[in-house]
Amino acid sequence: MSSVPENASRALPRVRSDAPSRWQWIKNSAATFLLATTFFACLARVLLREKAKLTNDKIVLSLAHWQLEPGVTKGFDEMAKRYNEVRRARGDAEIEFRQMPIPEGAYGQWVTTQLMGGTAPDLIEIGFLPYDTLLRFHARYFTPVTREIFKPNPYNKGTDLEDRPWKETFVDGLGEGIPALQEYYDVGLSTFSCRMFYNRELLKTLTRKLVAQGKLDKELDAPPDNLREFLSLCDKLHELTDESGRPYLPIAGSPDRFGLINWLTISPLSAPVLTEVDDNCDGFANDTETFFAILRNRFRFDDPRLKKVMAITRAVTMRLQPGWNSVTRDEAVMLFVQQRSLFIGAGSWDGMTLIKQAAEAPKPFAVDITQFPMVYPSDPEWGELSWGRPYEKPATGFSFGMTKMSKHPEVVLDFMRFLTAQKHNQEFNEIIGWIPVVRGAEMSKFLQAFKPNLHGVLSGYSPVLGAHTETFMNQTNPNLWIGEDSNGKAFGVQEWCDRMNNRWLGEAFIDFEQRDEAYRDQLASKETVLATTRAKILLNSDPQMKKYLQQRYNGAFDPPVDAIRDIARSRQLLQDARAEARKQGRLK
Amino acid sequence: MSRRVAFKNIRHHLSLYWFVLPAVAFIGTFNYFPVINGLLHSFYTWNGGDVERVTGTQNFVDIFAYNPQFWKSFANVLVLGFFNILKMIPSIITAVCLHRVLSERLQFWYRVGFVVPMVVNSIVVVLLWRMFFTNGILNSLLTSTGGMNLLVWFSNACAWISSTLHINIFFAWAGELFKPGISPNWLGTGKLAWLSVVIWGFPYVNQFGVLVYLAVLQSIGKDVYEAAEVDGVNWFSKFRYIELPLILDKVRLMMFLVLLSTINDAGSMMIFFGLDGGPDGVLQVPAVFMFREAYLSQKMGMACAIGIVLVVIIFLMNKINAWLIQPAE
Repeated sequence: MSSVPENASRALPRVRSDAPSRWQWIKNSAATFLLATTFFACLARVLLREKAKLTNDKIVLSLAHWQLEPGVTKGFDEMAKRYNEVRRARGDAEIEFRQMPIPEGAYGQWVTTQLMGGTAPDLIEIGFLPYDTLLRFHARYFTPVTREIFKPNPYNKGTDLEDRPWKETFVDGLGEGIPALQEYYDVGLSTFSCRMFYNRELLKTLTRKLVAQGKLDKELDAPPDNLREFLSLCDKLHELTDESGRPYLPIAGSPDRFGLINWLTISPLSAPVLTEVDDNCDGFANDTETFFAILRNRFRFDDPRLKKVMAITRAVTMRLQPGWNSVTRDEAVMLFVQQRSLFIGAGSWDGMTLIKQAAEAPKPFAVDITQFPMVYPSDPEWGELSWGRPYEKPATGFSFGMTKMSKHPEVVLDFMRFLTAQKHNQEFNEIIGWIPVVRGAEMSKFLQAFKPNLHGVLSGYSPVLGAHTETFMNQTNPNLWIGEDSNGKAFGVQEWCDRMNNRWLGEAFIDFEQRDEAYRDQLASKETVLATTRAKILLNSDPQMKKYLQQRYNGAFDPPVDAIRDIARSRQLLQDARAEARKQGRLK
Repeated sequence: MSRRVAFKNIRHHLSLYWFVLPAVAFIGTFNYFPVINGLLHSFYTWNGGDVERVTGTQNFVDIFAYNPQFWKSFANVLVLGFFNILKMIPSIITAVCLHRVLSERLQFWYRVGFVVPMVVNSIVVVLLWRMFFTNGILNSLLTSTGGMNLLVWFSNACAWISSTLHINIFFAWAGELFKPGISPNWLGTGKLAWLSVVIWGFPYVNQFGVLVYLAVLQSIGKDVYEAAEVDGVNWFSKFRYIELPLILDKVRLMMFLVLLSTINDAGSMMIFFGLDGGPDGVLQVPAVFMFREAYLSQKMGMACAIGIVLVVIIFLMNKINAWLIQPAE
């Protein structure tokens, strides 16, 4: 028989009698009470909501997105109000507009549960889910709008877009929709661009100091547009200290923020290597062209021009604050708002927020926007790399899809038409501080700096083919950015070139073969889609729709016979080049 | 002693089996089905959607023969596991201290104090630590308290030992960690990233561990302590000869659980370093590797195969743990 240890009840409070004391009763019941209260509170909330749904005569239009900025929610509310005015004037019933801003960290999971549970709102912002999942969700839970986008938008009446199909009123013509499903589902409300933000007052104050020290010729109220001069200014600014004696950190960086500088300042400098990489001479080196150029040894990562580009990358990253490569984009903003940094890369999507944060900072200041600096052709060392400013392709973003759970799809569609009419899209984007997506819709004065550059160059090579190359690049590039590898050894441009030459091809091979395999797997489903498209062409009575389907059938969508031929050709090329690369020792 | 029940007798107790059925259905659906499904798909080329093709043991061959990163991730997880085991020591000390608090009421409130933080999601704790490392809080704290100078001095001393005495293990590594005038980039450089994943979580008091140890400690009879005091045993000897042998079983159990969670942990590594495994991929761990194969490469079949390999390894570890515990019993 086991005996109870003498101090078994040591942990319990002293009990004076057999009956539980009031204290003990409270302790024992607290959890049950809390659980019961929470349960009944939730139950009451659900019942009240359901009751409200049943007794509400109004048409409820719900919309979910991940934009938590106050401007966006205000913009939607305002547009819903204006939409109701239009409906009232038409004699239609008013709508009750509900929006659900969901934090981006949980957005994908939230959308998944709402769609699967059949409780999704009428309109959902598309994003934060893998492409394959989105594809399946579109097919299962969203209503295609293909038929409607080939008809004019009635809200464009009286404008130059009056007779144009809705699709063509967007700056990018809504792209190709979802090619795998042969349908259009999503409609965008804005387009985006990036620029450099700077603290003008601080720049003026600091450059004044530099002039007084004889380190600068004149006081500046805007950063130099020339990259070399800009970097030189950054060095001089770094020599100055703030009130606490800390040196200024000229550029506030994070991987995201540096990505913007890289995209618009550095990567266009690799354009000259297009001569070796761009097989089809379309001015753009895609990943397949890059892969074959390297496989066939037409282009190497130690190309002198590319080495210069990498040297520039290092030169820029050295001017960012220490530890920038492991901070979040918001942490970089803090540095800028605290006036420890003067420059920061930002997109039109967070521009308004940044300006507001600066205005509400303990020491408020005004923010100005300018182009990212560029290398000038006259530059003695880097000039040969400068083929012009980067090309900024206009594309729709902030896209919404209509779910099949919508009880009033005609109203939802009408609301989307309203939001994307020339006048209303301009008004909406003015409120939220983003760039309109409809042709002819003017940007606000603040956004003029974000006007995309439609005549420029693109990067000369695309080293990411798939997951393996992406991971490899994400692991290798930070070494160059911070100037050391994981063992603490110096990692410069030459080390970057060596590692890329030694390992990139192997990773790219895995990605290419995987993609090739996926392409072959898709052939059967492609044939099914083609057969469906043929049937749609034959049975469709709408001439515009018929024309569109015919175009897609003939052009945009490769018939399987062509695809088989392409695969055979690429495989032959691959085998020959692989044998050659192995012979030369460039591939293990 | 177990008793065999004839099948024909089952119908006499059918109502009881109906009670068990929901639990069996849930366990089958959520515990066994995913494992069996994963095992099945590990022999497939599967993208999680329409492409599903039997490829036999190819996924396993690819993992073992052609994927050095997989083995590297295992080496990493073993090192991390070693440090996580060391991090169990503060929990043991805390449990012993709590056990020795004489006032019952005070002990109760101490226990509550340790249990309450358990409601904070561990992900929140990782996010807080990430913030310490990245937004300068830790660096500011170190600079303002003089800790940074101490770290630089320590680094210099290690460098001196390494160069003078030619002891390269650890000292050469530590000699380059902190440099004067340079703020440590905790999660951005390979060496400091390693140090960060080792030091995060200070003071390393695992509440669950404390409660487990405390439960065992409280079963020690008062007479044992009294006898020890009569013999003039000091506080440390009480721990060494009375308390430690009794909690050793639980220490082994916790050790196994710590190793298990280290192998399975993808969340904290992804919060610290994303899917790339840190600077230069130095902190690649198997769970993140599996996650990347599944969601970035869309190789669900390969991810299932990695999952099966992990299950087998954990199973083996369980066996080793059972073997270690046996002699104590």
